[in-house]
Amino acid sequence: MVSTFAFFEGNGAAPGTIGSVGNLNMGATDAKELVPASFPIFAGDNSYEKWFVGSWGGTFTKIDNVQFYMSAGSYGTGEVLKWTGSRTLYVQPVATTSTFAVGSIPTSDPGTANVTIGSSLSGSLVSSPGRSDWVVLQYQTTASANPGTTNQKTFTIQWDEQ
Amino acid sequence: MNFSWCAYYNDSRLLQFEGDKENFFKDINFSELNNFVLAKDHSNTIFDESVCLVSVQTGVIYLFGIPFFFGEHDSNRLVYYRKVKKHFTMEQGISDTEVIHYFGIQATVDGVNKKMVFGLNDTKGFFVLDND
Repeated sequence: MVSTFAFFEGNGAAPGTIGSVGNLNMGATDAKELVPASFPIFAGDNSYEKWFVGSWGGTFTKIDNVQFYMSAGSYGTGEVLKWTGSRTLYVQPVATTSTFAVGSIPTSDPGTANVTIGSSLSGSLVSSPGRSDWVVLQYQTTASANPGTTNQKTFTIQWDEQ
Repeated sequence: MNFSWCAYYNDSRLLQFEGDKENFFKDINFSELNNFVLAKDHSNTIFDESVCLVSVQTGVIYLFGIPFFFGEHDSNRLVYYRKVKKHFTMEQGISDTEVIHYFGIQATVDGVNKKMVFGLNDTKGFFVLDND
């Protein structure tokens, strides 16, 4: 029994256009798999929010305990990523300072679930394909942010599977 | 690390297996399982029962010979699960998957579902992962 996994991103006005993505590039437009060089984030600005879910298919008995964190890398001067892992309703991404992505991303394994399923941190998928609630990310900069590409960061999404 | 395990069925039949992590549990008939034994490390024919013996029906887990009584008999079941970690960068998406295998016993204790999960890996050896 092994599950399959993919990220699905939402874009545009609610209910949004939702599709699987191969990357989560962030930039100055609301689009999936955008080219950062074409949509740079100017120092002092925010990226558009990135709204995505974890989606599981394949064969499994239970999926739960979903955790999301920054597992490697560090912030450069004047940059920070804000997030939430518990939005149940999709809202069109904005580039103003997010009212949803307001928390600091954990920089180590949080140990307990921090992404909800069915509005609950103890929620689960049982036997049938399904998805997490929405994760919202926003890249925020200050005027002191360095030009060019930022430090690469590695993120981890993990779950328990029976 | 390879794992060696054997499963004792209710009718005393013995299922032995030695293999890699992906084949860890696939041959067990859980509905007939009585005892489950996991060897500490790779071995060929002798299973080190002093390391871990899970008596599914009686709810007793022996770790290094020490018994832990766990749960009501009729609700016990052995559980196997994987902790899956997908590592990714914004630019490249998911580039690496890490899978850690665990097993344990689930039971109903005083009307509450309980889970005691054990892990075995190269760095920690045998350890209790979760007891809630």
